[in-house]
Amino acid sequence: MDRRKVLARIVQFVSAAIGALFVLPVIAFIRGSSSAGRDDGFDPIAKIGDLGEEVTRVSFARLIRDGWMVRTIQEYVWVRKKPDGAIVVFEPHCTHLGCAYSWNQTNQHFECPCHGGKFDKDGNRLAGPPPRPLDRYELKMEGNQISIGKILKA
Amino acid sequence: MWKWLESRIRLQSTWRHFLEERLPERTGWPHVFGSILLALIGLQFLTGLLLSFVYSASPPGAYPSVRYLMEQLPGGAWLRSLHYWGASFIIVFVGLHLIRTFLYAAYRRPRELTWIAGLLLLLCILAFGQTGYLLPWDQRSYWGTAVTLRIIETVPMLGPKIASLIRGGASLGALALSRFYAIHVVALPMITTLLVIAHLALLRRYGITAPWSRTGEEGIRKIPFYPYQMTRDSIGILIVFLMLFWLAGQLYAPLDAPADPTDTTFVPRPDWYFLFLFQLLRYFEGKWEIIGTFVLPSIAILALFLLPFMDRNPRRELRYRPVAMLILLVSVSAWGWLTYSAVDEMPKPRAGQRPPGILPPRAERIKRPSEVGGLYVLKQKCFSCHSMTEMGSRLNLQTLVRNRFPTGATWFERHFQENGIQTTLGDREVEELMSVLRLVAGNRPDLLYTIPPKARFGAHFFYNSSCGSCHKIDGQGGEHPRVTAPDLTLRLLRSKEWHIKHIHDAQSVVPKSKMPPFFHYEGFEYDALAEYILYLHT
Repeated sequence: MDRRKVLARIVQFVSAAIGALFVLPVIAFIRGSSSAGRDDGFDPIAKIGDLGEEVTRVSFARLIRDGWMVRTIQEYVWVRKKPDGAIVVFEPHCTHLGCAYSWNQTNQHFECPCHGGKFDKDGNRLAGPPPRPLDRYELKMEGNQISIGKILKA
Repeated sequence: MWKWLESRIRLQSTWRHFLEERLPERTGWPHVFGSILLALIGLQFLTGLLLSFVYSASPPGAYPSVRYLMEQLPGGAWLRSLHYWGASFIIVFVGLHLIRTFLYAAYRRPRELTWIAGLLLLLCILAFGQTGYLLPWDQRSYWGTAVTLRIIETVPMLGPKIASLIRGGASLGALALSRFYAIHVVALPMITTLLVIAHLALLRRYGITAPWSRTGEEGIRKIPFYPYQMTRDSIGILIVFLMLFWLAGQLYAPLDAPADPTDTTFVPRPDWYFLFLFQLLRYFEGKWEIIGTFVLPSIAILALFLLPFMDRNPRRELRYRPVAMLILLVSVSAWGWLTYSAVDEMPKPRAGQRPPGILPPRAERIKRPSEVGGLYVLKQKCFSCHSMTEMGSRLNLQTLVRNRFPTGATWFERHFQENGIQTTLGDREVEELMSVLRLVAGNRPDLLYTIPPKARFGAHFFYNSSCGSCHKIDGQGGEHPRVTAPDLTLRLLRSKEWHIKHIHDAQSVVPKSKMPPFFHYEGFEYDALAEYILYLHT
């Protein structure tokens, strides 16, 4: 190798070294700054006595960590009380593309306004493009108190 | 694909063209500063981009977001410190680059515009420093900027108008912060990029000035930039980057207490490269102040801009330019002397002196129950005779314990007896005292003063109620053989009320909790425990 080639290798090596020094901290930083979210655990949403209808929209407040803030956000879920008293809590966004669906009392369907997805009151898909039944929340009952945890995908 | 790109935009040939710039053969190490600066500016762009992923430019958001970046994000403190120290490095290399250009008389015909573009870049860099200074919105940046704006107000006629334009109103607040942010991350990077391109294009067009030689510029042999000079440049860059990376890991960028516009005690000081101005202002008082704030700096900048047109000396060698050398020497030593005297006159913190009551970042806090609680015991048992500072003929506690450190329970017993003090210490209290006195004897006893009073008693109570046999805090406690309770230095997002309820009856808030209920404490004891836990968590 002549002098020119050796020098060229040095330049390439140095550039690679500087790049390498940077890569890991930067990746860790970017991953770290996007991993914000809720506390793992259960949040109480309602008492069984508060549920009137067979299907009820329940609003509740949740404390979340949002980047550098800790704040309270308002959320809601659809709660179904089966005739035998069992409770199902649905995540309130359509499994197709995440639009907010609503409960149609007359047809007894959950209906998504975006692309016409329809689900029955147990969350099974009836019509439209959604790929799977409605997502549910992990549930915990303590006496009367209903608490929800992670989202369970069907 | 590559061929297609190449045929359309000639990427490779442009790059080659750039690399094959012909340089005078004896171009050498003095010419690496420009490339180092370019690399450092690139690094500032990159770290700045990463910081702006997290930063929030509003008075309520700025400080917490910077704190979050420093304490919660992996690599966050290092990246911010890189950005912070990178700015200082740029100033250093701008200085070297400028002096090198001056010594080579490289500003002369036909390179006047290269010089002027460079000076405009220097002004941009100072503006970067000024605008970036405010962004963390801590005491230091708030009061530092308040002073800068006052200085601008002394400019005749337009001063107050300019200052209020920058502030976006009468007071330093949300609008000022947004403006500084916009200038720092949008306007200045654009202007700087354009100026860098202009500076490099002009450099390319007129070439670089060869080192001094008898033959003059025409007869010198030329070599290509790559790989000869580029090797020196990249080695220079690597060395500087390694230094910067190391420094940023060793010394984190400072973050003071949050900005408090009502504080009257804070003495702002500018970054080191503006210290000379700060010091200069001490010599001009009253109506003469304007000389230090406006006249002298303007003259200096103007002189730099006019230099290529005023310097008519045909020779470049240093020994034929006595006036130029004298001016350089005087300016550099004046700068050095002013900076030195500003540093020299800075009040130095004494051991045992009370800091301005700032809660340090979580990582640096004193957390262990025996140490935090120890301060409580120290106050109860020792402060009737001793103190942390010198008082009259009495030695301070630090000197005392450094000379004769207590050996244990019997030592304290004897010590109290000898001095006629009626008091007793429990075993736990002896341990607490020993822990805290170890800190008093150490290098940072002032950190003890940053512990909020309520947390002290909480920790004392925590330590004496054996909470620590299950819970571990900062490596202390958790000896219980069968029970492992959560480490309390882990951060939880809970309110004080929640903690009080939780201590009282854990299952009422965390149904599956294995922690037994503690019904038998007094109200103020619950309160103090919760305060201590909050001190650990927030």
